[in-house]
Amino acid sequence: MNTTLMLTGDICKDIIDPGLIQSEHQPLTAAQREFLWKLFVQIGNVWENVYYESSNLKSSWLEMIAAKTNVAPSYTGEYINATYVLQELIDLNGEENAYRLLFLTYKQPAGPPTTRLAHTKTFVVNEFIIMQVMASGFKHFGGKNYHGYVKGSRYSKQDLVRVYKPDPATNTDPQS
Amino acid sequence: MKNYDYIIVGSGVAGVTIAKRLLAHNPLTAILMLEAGPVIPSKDRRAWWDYITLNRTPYDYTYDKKWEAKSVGTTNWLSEGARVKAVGGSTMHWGAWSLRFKPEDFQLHTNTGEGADWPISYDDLEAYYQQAEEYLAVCGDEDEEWSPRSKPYPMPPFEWTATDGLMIKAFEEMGIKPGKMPLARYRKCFTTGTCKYCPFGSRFSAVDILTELLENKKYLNFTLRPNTPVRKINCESRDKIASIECLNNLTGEVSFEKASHYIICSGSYETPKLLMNSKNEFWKNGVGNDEDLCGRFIISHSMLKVRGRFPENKERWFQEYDFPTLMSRSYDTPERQKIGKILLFRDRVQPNQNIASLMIAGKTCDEIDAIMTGPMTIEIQAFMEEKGKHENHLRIMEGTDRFGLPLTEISFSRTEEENANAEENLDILKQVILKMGCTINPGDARIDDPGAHHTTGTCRMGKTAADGVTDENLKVHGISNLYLCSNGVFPTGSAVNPTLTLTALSIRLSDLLIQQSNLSKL
Repeated sequence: MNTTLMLTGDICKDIIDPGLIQSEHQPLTAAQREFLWKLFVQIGNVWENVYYESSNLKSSWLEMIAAKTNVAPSYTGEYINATYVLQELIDLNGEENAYRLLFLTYKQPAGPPTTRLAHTKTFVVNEFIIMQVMASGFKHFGGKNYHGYVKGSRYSKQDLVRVYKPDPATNTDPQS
Repeated sequence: MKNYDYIIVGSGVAGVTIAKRLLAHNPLTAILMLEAGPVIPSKDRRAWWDYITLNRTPYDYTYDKKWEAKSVGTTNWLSEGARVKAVGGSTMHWGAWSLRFKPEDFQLHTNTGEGADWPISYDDLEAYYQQAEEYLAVCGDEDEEWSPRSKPYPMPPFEWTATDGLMIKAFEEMGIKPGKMPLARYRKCFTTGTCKYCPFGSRFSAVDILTELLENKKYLNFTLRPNTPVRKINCESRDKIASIECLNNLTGEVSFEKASHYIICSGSYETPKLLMNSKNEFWKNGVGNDEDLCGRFIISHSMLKVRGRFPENKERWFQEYDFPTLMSRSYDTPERQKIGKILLFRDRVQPNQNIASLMIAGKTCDEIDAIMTGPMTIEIQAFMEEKGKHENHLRIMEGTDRFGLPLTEISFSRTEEENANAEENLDILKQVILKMGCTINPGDARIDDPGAHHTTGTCRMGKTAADGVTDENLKVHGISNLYLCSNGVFPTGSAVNPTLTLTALSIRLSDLLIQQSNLSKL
């Protein structure tokens, strides 16, 4: 299947409150976490913006998930919601196509998210994209540092950013 | 009722610096620190992740709302987003640009006939600047010659970025000396580019110092009370404060606290407001306000901005630091005082593309690549010095804000001459952008409204009570045990950020208080 039309079902279309899904004290299971990890990996696969496999970013990603689920307001309800939405999208569109359509084709209606699909896009997909770009994905597009990236000690011998070199010949390589 | 040695109102850089030094001198010093705002944890991982993913900080909600600080002058005065009303004060969000004033800034009136002179000179403050730079861990260029200095910076500077290079060439062609921005960053800085909420505490924040003080078991008599606005200063005679009245916002309890010395460090808004609000039989117009100087002479910086546009961005330049690295003080000189000195700096944010936003919008990798190498903007900005005028003032409005502090009204206006001077300075910025080969579109060169970020002058120091609210030692004229330490005591604002100078004044005041304490023991 390769279409620009994303098929959605009852779960995706279900109308819910636009605010964060209430889920205080609800744990995220290991299976749900691994399901979400697949979603995160697909960001790198679709945009091809990680030099190495996304697994290098897993510890950072897990730390974000823990921070977002263990501390109020909890994202656990959003993450569990996303697993159902994604599974439905995969069932209807096929696994590879589901992610591409969700990332590149789906146009979220303006305003607060009022469907389970819109919740998934707002609170899960978009935030995962921001985290992926911050943690490594920005490098593909040039640059050595980015908002949120833990670059390392400023006393390292490696340049922290693309630094000014008075000789223009050494000042043109974005990766130098 | 406990009688403290010191009551410090406000928990920003001034109050915390004074408390730290008093406690270091004598760990048993009894200090009560009162803060109207709440405690907001620093280095909190969830708060940091929310900053990354949602672009919001945990202190955003403490900023003034429009209805809490009204602008009523002919020039709009912006208060929103400028003051953090929480433990730690505005050091929660400051950029940590740490520039010294220059000698001429202390003699503005003598040099120009406008504004005011300080009752102290640059030389009086130089040694304290040095201590302040060490305390804040300022990273600066030891070869710079902007202000006289007795010692080099304690830390090396952050180097210019490659994007700075585009502007450095234009600077040099125009005879503008490029400089490296002095920035307060500890050695543990990992350059996450999230300085507004550092995950590691690598940028000075008063809340981190306070945490150290509160956890230090030697400091048995140090107490911090957040959520406790001070409402009034009470006198036992014209020249002596008896107590202060404060409200516990959480319990609703009103209490009167006593100390030998009272130090008001609650910023350029709240410090004069507290004095004005403290009318009594001895001070009919508010404590220390017989001359009607409290709230007067309010100034900040005019912000000048010129954006240039390049048709393409082959090198894919974008923001990599969360602070500027290129600046110049070539127009921050005595010769420019009359027109208004400016601090030039390259805007840290541009050129930039929000890669994640493009992905979220569904752009493919190839489409994003094209955008990254497409049209690019770059911007030069400047802080322009303002001169205090009696008619520009801050006043108390009826009612209180969410933190129990009186509402604020600010009347600020610029003269035609001041507007013309700003335009003349703006032309310098335009020349830089044009020299770089950029185009300037309509609306890309502008003078922003002044904002509360660098407010000064509202309870300025002066040699006599007719000149200022405090004397040169920050003691309120005519009162033996009341001191003010905030940006409000600055008689002039210069063209640079105030925090380093406030820190130097705080160190100077703490030395004075320690000397007095030693003398009283003899």
